[in-house]
Amino acid sequence: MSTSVLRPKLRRDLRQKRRQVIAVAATVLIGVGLFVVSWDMYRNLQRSYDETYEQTAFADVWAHGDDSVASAIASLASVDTIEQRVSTDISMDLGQGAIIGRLQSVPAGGQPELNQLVIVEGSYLDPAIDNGILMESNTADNFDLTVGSHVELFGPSGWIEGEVVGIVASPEWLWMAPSSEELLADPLGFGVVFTSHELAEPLAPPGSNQVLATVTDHDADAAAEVTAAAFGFGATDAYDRAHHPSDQALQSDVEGFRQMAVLFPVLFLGVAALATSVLLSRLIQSQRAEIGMLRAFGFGQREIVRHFAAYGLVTAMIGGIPAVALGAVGGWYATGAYTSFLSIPFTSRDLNPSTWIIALAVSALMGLVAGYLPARAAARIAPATAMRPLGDIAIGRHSWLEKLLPRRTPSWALVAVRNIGRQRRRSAATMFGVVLALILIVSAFVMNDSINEVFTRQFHEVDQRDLVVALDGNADEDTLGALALVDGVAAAEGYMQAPVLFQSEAGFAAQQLQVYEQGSQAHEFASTITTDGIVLGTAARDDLAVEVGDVVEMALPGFAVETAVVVAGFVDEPISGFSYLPVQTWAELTGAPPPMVVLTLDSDDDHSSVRTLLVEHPAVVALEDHVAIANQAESLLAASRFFVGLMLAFAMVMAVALIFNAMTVTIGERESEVANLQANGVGRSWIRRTITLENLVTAFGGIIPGLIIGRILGAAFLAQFSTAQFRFDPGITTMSLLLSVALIVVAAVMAQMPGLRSLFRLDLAAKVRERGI
Amino acid sequence: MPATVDPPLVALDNVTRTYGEGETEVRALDGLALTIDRGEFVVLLGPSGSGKTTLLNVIGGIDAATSGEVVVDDQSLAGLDDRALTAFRRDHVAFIFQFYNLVPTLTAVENVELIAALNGGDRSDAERTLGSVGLADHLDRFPSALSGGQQQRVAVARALAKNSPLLLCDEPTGALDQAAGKHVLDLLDELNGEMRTVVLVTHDESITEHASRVIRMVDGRIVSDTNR
Repeated sequence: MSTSVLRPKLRRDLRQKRRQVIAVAATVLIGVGLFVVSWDMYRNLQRSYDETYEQTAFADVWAHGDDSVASAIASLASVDTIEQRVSTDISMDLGQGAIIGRLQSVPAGGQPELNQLVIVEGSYLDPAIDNGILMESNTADNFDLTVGSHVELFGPSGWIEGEVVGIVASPEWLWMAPSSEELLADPLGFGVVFTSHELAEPLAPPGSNQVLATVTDHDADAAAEVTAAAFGFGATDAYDRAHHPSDQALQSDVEGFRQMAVLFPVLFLGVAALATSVLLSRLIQSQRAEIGMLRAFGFGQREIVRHFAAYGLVTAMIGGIPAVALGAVGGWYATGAYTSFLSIPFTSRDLNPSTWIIALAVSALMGLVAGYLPARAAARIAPATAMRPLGDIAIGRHSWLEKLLPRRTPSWALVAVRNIGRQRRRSAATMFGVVLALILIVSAFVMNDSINEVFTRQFHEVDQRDLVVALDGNADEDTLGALALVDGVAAAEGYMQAPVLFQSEAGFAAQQLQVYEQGSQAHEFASTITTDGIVLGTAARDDLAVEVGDVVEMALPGFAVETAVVVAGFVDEPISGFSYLPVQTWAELTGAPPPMVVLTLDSDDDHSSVRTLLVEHPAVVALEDHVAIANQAESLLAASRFFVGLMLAFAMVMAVALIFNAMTVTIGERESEVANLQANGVGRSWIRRTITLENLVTAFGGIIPGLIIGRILGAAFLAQFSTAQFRFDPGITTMSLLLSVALIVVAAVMAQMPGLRSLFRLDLAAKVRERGI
Repeated sequence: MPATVDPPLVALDNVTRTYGEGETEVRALDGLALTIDRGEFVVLLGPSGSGKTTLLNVIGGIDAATSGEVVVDDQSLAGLDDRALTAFRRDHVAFIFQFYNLVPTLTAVENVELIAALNGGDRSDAERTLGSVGLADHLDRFPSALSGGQQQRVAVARALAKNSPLLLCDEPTGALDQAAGKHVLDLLDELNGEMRTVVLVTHDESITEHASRVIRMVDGRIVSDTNR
């Protein structure tokens, strides 16, 4: 085939345009590389979770309730297996002072049927060893516990010592979330231990019995139906796998990777397609005479299309092939690091050739699509027209934009403004590229600012608890007075957090209830709570379908309280979704002051010394450090900021790549006229000014739509991560908007530098002899 | 019985080519009638804008007549679609342009091979053809490393490689010095001696010495047609 003879031409043309080709290839590389990494991570993580859940017989439904609830659940047709255990929060000392931790029971003689444990170190419980304890592996790491360590558990009869016989991983605790309302935990303020049923039962308060169930084929709809039925059978709390705190957090991450695997390639390959198209348009423009010659000698349109579309294909593959290799390696390591961080017991870290094939196919398709349009245009040029010296790009016209300029606008500015309309399609492509780059930049800022806002609002405005202590008794006046006298404590107030179940005509809502003194400084919503009724979070409001003034049934498992309460109001909490009552109402309902105290400290700085004093206080049996939880949130924010920084860097590469290509093309087309201007004595500063202005005005054309679309898409992207527990109110600060614009301006200025440098190195004598195009 | 007469290689009847519309209409060819027999060396002479390049392009099928009949090598060009015109150009005509129109990123031999391959030729054919125009030692040079005369000889070799009966030359010496121009014209003479028909557009009177027939054009019309 004669087109095979054109291969050296293709190779040499691409080598000549290597800087632009590299710019496109880099964009493809980032987009496709991110796709391979995030898609592989998505698939590997999902497989790892599925494998772990399969191997450990992860339950489909959890419900707190007694034997009658268990029997009723077991009688449902869709239920395959049920198992009962103790699952409750108690005080425990894991070697760092008393905390509130989760106690879950398992059979002493062998693995439970559901939610089996994976032995990481040591052995399973031995009925021959009294008070043997299995320590959850994250807890063991946080508290530096090993096999043979001794810990203490607090029960009605006081502290009981136990010995760690094994370190175990549990499918329920891949992510350490105490409840759906508490997806973040203080690493040294929460832990999980497994004991035999026989050891756990005397330690657990009433209402600690939990029923686990699996349904046929793990069908999600069937699990949801069983969950709903469980409430009807008298369960005080029930949720399915989709609402399990750990799985909920993990699935949110998996979904994030899946979203990334779609969003980023779309953006980057879109920009790469534009840049390829711009590059090819220029290449074709500069080869019009050659195309004319080829057509005159008998090359058909199809051969011309095939030849020029190959440029797009090859350019895309220059980025796509290494992207697949790097992405596969990156995905492999990233999956390993991620699963290792989460201590996932069964990790599926496969190489996924199907991902590579998809990535290569998408790269190739992008290249061919980007190359096809300019190639088709090239093929349609009539041979005689192609070989005429004057092309349409040399046509000068008045532009509507110049009407906005003052009468005595300098010539360099006038030329810049007119040049924008000289190649309208390319100017539009540059603007569109700026829009795409801004979508990425603004989306990254929207995510960053919104997450910042959520965390700041939750941990610095709404929830201002410093320390919470559980008491061996109730928070009566004497105890509160004694705790207030501890050095560093500014205020000690009665407080409680406990599971609560609401029921309305519409359904059930199992939640966590928080109890504060009215007007307490420890929580913003303490000013909202009232003795007139319950204040609900928005999630409970939606589940119960109630309005202010409606009456709902409220049950406090473990406190033998079942009563009707009036809905007094709603609060919109950014993270979590607690419901609120005042201490006075709690005392009226339970007949005693709450058994916990919230402490406000004089200063955050001395909270560790206060903590030490409180741990030794005779009334205190457990302590929860909310400053540590806020710090934990800060560390998550740091990860988020790293991600945002990465996105901004990629966005800059994308913007520079596109504007660089557009600018190089623009400058390349002007070589002859610039050489003529220089030959006639026009200075470099005139040329630099006019090109820079043209570039910036074109870039600015994309800024406003880019900011608007970026804001909208950023919000839409963030909405994917919004759950009942994490509700993001998408926003962007003025500073971020200004920074977005500044980044684009910097990208535009940077992108033109190589082109300008080459322009000032022209061989004037040779250039002024060339025919204009 | 009357003697058999070969049909003309090129026959144009009342051919018009206009560009633009209304007041801006330009009539590049104006009701032109012309026949060219096989083996002729025709020089088209005329000032700028006389329509001589347009006439060459219409004969070569790279531009279409607005009206009239164009028949080349027994094939009427009227109404041919792009695919048919491409096939026509592939099989019947070869061009030589003033500015050579070589592919700058292909070497001399690759430029010729590119076109030779259209008619089933290969690199050895391209090398032989370049040797016949005196460039055997410059096969692997890129156009930028060749003089203007050498580039035009590559262009001639490229046209030769097609083995077409009709050679259309648009100012082939226009960008060359006298010696290089003479070399190219000598090559065209040789080709014409091998019974290839040459139609050459120029405004250089001296080239008429090589012609068997000189046609002068003004404003899209033939004003004289002289056999030599």
